[in-house]
Amino acid sequence: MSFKLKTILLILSVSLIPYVILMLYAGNILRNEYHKNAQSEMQTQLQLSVERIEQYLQTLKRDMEFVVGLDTMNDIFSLDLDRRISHLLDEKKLSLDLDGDFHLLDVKGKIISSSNANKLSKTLETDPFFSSSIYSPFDNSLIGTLVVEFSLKNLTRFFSNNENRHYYIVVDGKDIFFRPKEFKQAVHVGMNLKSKNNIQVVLEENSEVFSNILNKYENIFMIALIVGALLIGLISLFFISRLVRPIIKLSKVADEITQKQDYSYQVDVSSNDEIGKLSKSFNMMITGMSNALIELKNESENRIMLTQEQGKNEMLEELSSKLSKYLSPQIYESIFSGAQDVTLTSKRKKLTIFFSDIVGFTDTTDKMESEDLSELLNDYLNGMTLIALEYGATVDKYIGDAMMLFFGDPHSKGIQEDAQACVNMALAMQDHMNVLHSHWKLKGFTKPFQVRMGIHTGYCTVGNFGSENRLEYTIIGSSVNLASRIESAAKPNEVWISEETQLLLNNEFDCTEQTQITPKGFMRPITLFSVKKYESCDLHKRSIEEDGLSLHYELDRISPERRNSLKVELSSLLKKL
Amino acid sequence: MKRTFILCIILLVQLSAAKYGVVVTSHTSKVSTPTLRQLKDIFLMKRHYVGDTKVLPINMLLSSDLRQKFEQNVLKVNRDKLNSYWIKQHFQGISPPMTQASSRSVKLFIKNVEGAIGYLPLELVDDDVRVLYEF
Repeated sequence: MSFKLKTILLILSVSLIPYVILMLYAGNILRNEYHKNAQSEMQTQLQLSVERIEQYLQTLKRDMEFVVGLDTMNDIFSLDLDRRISHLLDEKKLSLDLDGDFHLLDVKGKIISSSNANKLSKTLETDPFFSSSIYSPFDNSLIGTLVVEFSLKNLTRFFSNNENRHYYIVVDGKDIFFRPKEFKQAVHVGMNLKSKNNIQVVLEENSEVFSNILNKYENIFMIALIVGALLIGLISLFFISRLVRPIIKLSKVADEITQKQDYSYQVDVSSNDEIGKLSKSFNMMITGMSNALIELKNESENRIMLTQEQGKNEMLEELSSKLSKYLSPQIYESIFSGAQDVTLTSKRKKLTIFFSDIVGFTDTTDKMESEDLSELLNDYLNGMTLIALEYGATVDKYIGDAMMLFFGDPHSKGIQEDAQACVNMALAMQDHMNVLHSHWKLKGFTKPFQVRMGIHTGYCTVGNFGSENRLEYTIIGSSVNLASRIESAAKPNEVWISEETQLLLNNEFDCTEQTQITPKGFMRPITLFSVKKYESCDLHKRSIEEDGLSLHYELDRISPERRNSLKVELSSLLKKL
Repeated sequence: MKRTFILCIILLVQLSAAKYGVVVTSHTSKVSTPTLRQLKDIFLMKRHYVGDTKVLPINMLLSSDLRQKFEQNVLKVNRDKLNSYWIKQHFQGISPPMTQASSRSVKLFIKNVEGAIGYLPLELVDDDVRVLYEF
C-alpha cells in the first residue's frame, strides 16, 4: 500500500467516518425530534380544542345552573302553564346554538317543559348529558330536574379537520363517532374530557404526509451528507496530494538514483516545512554523495596511476640504483634531482683531482690466480670507493687498478675545503690499506698491494662529453694530466701533491718537498710534495704497516680484560726493545 | 241638591264597594282566614305564618291589572312606595313574593302548593279554592 493511499485512508478515517457517523446520529436525533415535535404540536392542538370544548360544556353547565336558580322554575307548580320555562329553555338553546334540547322534568321524571314541544308529557328515554336538580325556594324540596339532551355533534364545531388531519370522538373507549375516514398509517393523540370522563377526543394525522415530509428532510439531509463527504474527500485529497507530492518526488528521485546510479538528480524543493527541509537535506546528501563518488573515482584513478607509476618508479629506481653503481653518487644525485641536464654541456671549474694506482699491478697479476686477484681488487676498490664517498669525492672512473676522483663538482664546499678533503681522503685510503694488508695477510696473501696517490688542484673542464647517444660525465684538461703525472711520480704507499694543492692545505698536514718534475706540455717545473698527517697524541687508534712491523689497534674496541693482558705483553716487548 | 249629593255619595260608596277579586287559598289548605293586616303583612313578606301554618304568597305579574287592584285595595300602597320598599327589603335579603303569569296558573299553583295564598278574579273562584278576603 502506497504512502499516499495510507495517508488518504488515515485522513478519511479521522475526518470522513466521524463526519458520517455524526451526521447520521444528528439525522436520527432530528427525526426523533421531528416525531416528538409533531406529536407535541398535535397534542397542543388537541389540548386547545379540548379546552374550547371544556369551556363550552362549562358554559352549558353554568347556564343550566343559572336557569334552575331562577324563580321561573316555580312554574313547575303550575305545570308551566304560562310556558315561561319553555321560552327560557328555547332562548337558552338558541343562545348556546345547541344541537339538542333542554327538558324540565318533574319529580316523577315526566317532561313538563321542553325546548322541544314534541317531548312534552313524555319521559326521557336516554341518560341526560347534564342534569341539574331544581329545589323549591320556599322549602328546599326537590321539585324537578333540568336536563339537556346533548348531541355529540355539538363538539364537532371545535374540530378543525383537513385532508390529513381530523378529530373524532370515542365514547366509553369503544364507540367511535365523527371519524371522516381511516388512514393507512396514522398517528393518534387522545385526551379525555374533564367534565365527561367517558368521552375521549382523538386527533388523528395521516403519517404518510408525515413520512413524506420526513423523507423530504431526509433526502435533503442525505444530499448534505454526500456533498459534505465529497467536499471532505476532495479537500483531503487536495491537501494530501500537496502534502505527499514532495515525498513521491523524493521517492522517485531515490528510485532513479538507485536504478541509474546517476547522482546528478535533484528534488525540486518549493516548501519550507519539514518535508522541504528533508528534500533539501536529501539534495545535499545526494550532492555530497556525488562529490564523494567523484572524489573516490578520482582517487581510485589516481591510485591506479600511482600504482602504475610506482611500478615504473620502482623499475626506474631499480634501474637507477643499478646505474648508480656505475656513476658517482654526486653525479647520480645531481642528474636524478634534475639539477643537471643530461645534455652536451660543460663548464670550467677549479677542482682537486686525485689519481691512485697499484704499484706493480701487472707483475702481481701474473703471480696470482685470477679469482684471488679479482677478490683482492674488489676488496681494494670497494674499500677505497667507500672512503671516497665518505669524504665527498666524485668518482670519475676506474681504469683497471687505477682510480680517478675529483672534488668540487657537482658539489663544492669551497676550493680549499675540497683540497683538504681530498688530502684527508688520500691519507685515509693509505690508512685503510694497512687494514687491508692485515686482512689479506690473514687470508694468506703475502704480497699485498702498494698504492701511490697523486693530487693536483687546478682548472678543468667538467661536464658531459661524448656523443648525443652516449655521454660521459668527466673532466678534461691539463690539470687532469698533471695529477696523473704526479701519481706516476709518487712513491708507493705515499701521497704526493702539487704545489697548488699544498698551498691550499692548513697546518694540519706534514708536507715534505720531494722533487720537481716537468711533465710533457708543461713549460715550468712542478714541485711535488709528499703529505702525511702530523703524528698526533691521539693513541686511541693507530695503524702502522711497515717492513717488519704491522700494528693496528683501536683502544675503544679493546675489552678491559684484553687491555690488561696487552699491558703485560707490551711491557715485555718494551724490555726487549 | 242635597238629595242629589246624598245619592251621589251612595253611588260612590256602591261603586267603591264593587269587588275586583278575591284572595284565596286551596280549599284543602289549613290556613285560617287572616285579617287584612295579616294579609298585608303576608304579601309584604313580613309574616310567613298564619296561626301555625306557613303561608306562601303568590303575586301576579307586575303588568297585571288585578295585581294593581290588589295593591290598591289590600296593600293600600302606591307602586312607587312599594318599589322603594322592595328595594330596601332586597338589601336585607328579602325578595318579593313569587309570581305567576296568569290567574289560571295562580289557581293551579295554589292548588298544588300547600299554604299558598294568591288572588284571583271573581269568575275563577270555584270549589277548589277557599276565599280568604275579597277586594
